[in-house]
Amino acid sequence: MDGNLQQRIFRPTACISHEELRQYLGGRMSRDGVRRVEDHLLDCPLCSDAVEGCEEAGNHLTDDLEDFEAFSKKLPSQPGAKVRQLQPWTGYLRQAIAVAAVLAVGLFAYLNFGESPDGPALYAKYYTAYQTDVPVSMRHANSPDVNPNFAQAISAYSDRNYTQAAMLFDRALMQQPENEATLFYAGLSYLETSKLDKASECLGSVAKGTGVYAKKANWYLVMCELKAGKKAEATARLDKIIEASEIMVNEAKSLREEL
Amino acid sequence: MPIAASNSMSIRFLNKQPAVQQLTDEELVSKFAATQQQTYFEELYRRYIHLAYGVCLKLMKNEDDSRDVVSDVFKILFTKLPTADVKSFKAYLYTVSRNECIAKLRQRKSDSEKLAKYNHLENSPDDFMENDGFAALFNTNPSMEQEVERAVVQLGDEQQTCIRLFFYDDKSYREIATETGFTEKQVKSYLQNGKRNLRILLEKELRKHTA
Repeated sequence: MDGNLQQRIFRPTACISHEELRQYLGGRMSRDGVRRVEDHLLDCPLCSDAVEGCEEAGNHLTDDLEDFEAFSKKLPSQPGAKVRQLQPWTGYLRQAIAVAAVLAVGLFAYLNFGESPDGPALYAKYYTAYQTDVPVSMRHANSPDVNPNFAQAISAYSDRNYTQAAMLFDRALMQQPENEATLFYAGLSYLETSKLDKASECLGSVAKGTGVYAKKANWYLVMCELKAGKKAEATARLDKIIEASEIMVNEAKSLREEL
Repeated sequence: MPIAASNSMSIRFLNKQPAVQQLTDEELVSKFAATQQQTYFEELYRRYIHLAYGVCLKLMKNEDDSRDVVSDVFKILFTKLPTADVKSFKAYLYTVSRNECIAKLRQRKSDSEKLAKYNHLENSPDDFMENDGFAALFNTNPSMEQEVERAVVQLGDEQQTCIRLFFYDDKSYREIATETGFTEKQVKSYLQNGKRNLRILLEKELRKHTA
């Protein structure tokens, strides 16, 4: 029996791409590909129903679906969106003037201050809250056999009540100081509530390990360092992320350039 | 700043954004809500149009109707996403797709037979398995291997056979069907139910470990 059987059974898998669907329905997929798709179908009703729908329609392929360009013509105007119909020449002229003005301001700022955007500004630009991936059934504290602090903390985190989540994760950590999931979410909650030393400590512990959250923790450590204004540390960590080419590489490169 | 804010081209020129292809679904939703730029919505459309269409095809049983409904689904998403509290985009898309199909069938008396079969689906909970967090919890409980084996043994015969052939022997639905005499649909169903039961059994064990 495979030593990692439990992780193989419950490994996260991505939704089926259009090309994978074509290959699967057309019977042109490799054996490994078929196994990946069929593994995913067990967990995802969206993909499972989609495959069944196509199979029931006689392995109907979806090649002639409307592309976005055609579809976008049917879209309603976005509530609150500023819709501007630019005339070809005046539009380009306005854009050119605006670009020139922005470049002039940028050049002036560069010559006078010579600094890249500050850490908190970059944090605001690049930070995205991590969506909880802990099973819903483990977020209910009412069940008598769930660790109440962990369940309540995850529930508070899901509701974006990060102050309460941080406090509850802290209690859960007293019981299980090395639990990776608890450390990771505690770090994120501290990051949200600007308790950056604690965030750094929790995320740092996760990043040192080899668990499923280790690489994600590294990215959020960068966010932590940006928020704290520690651009040099953030830059060094980004270099490692880019060199390892494991996660968030494009975002890391883009952020590195701005730093 | 006002000049830059009024001109998306100059913003893009000065601030190189991460490629949309690298963003998660929820990041795309969040950035679409914040900026209302179509680029983010376009990526969601590209990722999911074929799947939403397949779901519609399953319920509508008709290609033209499915095309109409899937188009309506994405129009609804375009309007609602900026203000909706979306925790999982694909679960949200799945719910909207099913409900739109049911609404369309309801409009037609001739489809009452189909509709009767699907009424229970409307607003029913989605059964997406969130494996990321579950795998992480396993990570801190390496001794769970024996519990996994004990849980597999507790499954019914059909589920246990399919689980072993699929996860232990890496066989496909078709190969399992050939070997067992079940249909491929039965194999998938035994695997889905078996995995769900396995998860329930293991969650109980995990709670004991984390309590």
